[in-house]
Amino acid sequence: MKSTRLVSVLAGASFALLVGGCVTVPDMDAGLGAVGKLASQTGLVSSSQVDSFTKVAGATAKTFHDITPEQEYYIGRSVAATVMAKHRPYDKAALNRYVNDVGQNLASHSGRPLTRGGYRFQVLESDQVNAFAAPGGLIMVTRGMLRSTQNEDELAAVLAHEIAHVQNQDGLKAIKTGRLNTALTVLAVEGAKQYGGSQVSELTRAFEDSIKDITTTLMNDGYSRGLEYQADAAAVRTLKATGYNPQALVDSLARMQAVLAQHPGGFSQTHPSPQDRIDQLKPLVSGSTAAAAPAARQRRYAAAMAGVR
Amino acid sequence: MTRHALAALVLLCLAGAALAAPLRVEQKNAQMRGNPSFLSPVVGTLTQGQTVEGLNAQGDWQQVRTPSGTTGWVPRSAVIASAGALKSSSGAKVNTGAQVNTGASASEMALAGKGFGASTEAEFRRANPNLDFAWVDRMERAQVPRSELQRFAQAGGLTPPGGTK
Repeated sequence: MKSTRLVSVLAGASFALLVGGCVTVPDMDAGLGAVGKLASQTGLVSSSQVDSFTKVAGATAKTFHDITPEQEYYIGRSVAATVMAKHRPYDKAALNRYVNDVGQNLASHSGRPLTRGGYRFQVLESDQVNAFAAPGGLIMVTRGMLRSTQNEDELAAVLAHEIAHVQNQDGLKAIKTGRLNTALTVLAVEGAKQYGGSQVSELTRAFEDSIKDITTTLMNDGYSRGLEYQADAAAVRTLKATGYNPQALVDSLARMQAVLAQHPGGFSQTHPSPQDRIDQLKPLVSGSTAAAAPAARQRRYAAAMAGVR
Repeated sequence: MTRHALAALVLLCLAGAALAAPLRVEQKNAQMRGNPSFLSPVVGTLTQGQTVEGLNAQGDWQQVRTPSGTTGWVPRSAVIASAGALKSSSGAKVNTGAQVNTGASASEMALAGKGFGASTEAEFRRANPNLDFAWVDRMERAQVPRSELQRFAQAGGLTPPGGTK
């Protein structure tokens, strides 16, 4: 059958190109274009088909969209391991369980309820007021941050903001585009053959650099103001959908503002000032009402937080 | 070896074209529900990597049919377009014959199969022995069962506006 033979010819030729060694993106474009030309000269495809083949081959500028959930999961694990190497996990089962109850319930009402490995929460020992969201849903929050909250709704507001970073894939956006091009080109080559020594080291380096891009952003540089405001807006939606009072986000930011004045560094280094965020948030929260939190909610919050103070 | 790899590549193309809208399950044990709501009864469980057929979409939910014929709803984030159905980033399609009209470039198909994975993590761990992945593993095990989350929400008086999602 002619079309099947054509497929074999094209696939074979591009396969040969892929296994030919480490190619850069433009090289690969040129290569696949040449495959099309060859096929055209042999009369197997029309020139318009050559064009479309070349066009597809050219679609190689990689963005975070090209990262699969599987890859996001592995990136997230290494980011979390890096964060926890710097900030020791706080080993209190009951507290971690409570934070997971609040966080996983919120996540199920978020704009992205499921990820490859699921949403998981862990308290860190640090007194710094801070929280970190690794891609894929591994979220870490410091004891200092927990101390700055006064009720479950405010804790939920903090966690909802971190869930929003996972939902919006902000961590993956921190990976430098050039890096991604290199990494994913290596991957394309890798997809077609067994690992060879140089590809493994190139892939490992690309992975390591990507993890560094994300952890530097999480721990030192912070996201852009725009991404932070978007995360706040998504957090308001998640809080409302779960049944919490979205005003709690404004309240927790006001409290953070006060705490940060005494403890610079950490969160204040990586986030816009709480007051700026409150100004952006007010229109989204105004007019929203929620039933007063029942005593049981405050009791369980107080019981869990006894281990933090 | 080349011939086998080639055959596999061609098979991949054909498999992609065989189903109307093949989706790959990206979630460990994704629960399939009778209706697009977390409160709807579970009608089946999908395993990660499994291919299912995409039917209708509603909000954040996707209706799917398993190879055995069971139909149900899963959160949209639990599935992605399977390798053969990947769209090229430019939207252009390879149109070289009836059977290769999958829209995926060779690099994208290759990408769907491999990437940063367990073996990359293993290399990364070798290069960074100071990192402790035991805590990451421990963190991952902290899944709260759906039934407990429902009890937790109820006990705390958490009722989503307009009923459940």
